[in-house]
Amino acid sequence: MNKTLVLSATLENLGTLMSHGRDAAVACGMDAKAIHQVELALEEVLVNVINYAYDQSQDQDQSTVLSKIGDIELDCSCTSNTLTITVADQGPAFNPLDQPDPDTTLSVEERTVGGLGIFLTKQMMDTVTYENSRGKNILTLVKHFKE
Amino acid sequence: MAVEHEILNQTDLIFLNGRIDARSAPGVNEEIGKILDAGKNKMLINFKGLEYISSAGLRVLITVAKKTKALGKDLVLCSLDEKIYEVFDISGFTAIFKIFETQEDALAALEA
Repeated sequence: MNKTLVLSATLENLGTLMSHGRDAAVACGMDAKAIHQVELALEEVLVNVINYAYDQSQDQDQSTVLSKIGDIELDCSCTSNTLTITVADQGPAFNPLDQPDPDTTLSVEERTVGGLGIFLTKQMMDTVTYENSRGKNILTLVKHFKE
Repeated sequence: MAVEHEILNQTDLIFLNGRIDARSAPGVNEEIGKILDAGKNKMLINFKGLEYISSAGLRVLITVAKKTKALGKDLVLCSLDEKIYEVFDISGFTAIFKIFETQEDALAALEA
């Protein structure tokens, strides 16, 4: 099984992209806990692309903004006990895995409000790898599970 | 409705429902913000109806924690299911928030 979905990188498309990933996890035969972990890991990666990969800074006019927004390519494939998800964009080269992990031991006053997204992705999947290839940022998420 | 609100004595009871993701989080943030501004001295957030939370939802909660702390209000959470609790644990939120298994236990802690 191998399915690719290509949609423009907007928050409006997040639900469709998430369903695609969820359906793959379900079709793989993952249990509810693993499916939740995959959903969370995937959302964080997708939102990162939606918010940062393409230039949305200049114009509030919808048509102009949309013309600047590129695509997200989401591919899910399943073997007997491994789900592999790749998320690709054509924005400027950027490796989200380079960000330092947040310090989760700080007090409420010291904690920053953001910074958990990619950290959660790394925690929820078995491996997360980045490559920049043929002008694309490609993040590969792998999760092993029991059949 | 992602956020439901009831008042019990001096406590704001907030019930979170469904999914708090990047799309729904801004609305949840606004709803809870309004309740906090108008609010009572104590706040209880019940997670019983919550199926899913991502970092967008965690941002809302850390913001609520900072605000209640700054305002000197008590905040407790209850009824997190296993999946949600795991996200809290990994994020270090189990050390930040007072979390109880049931609403009864959480209310008792607020009264203490």
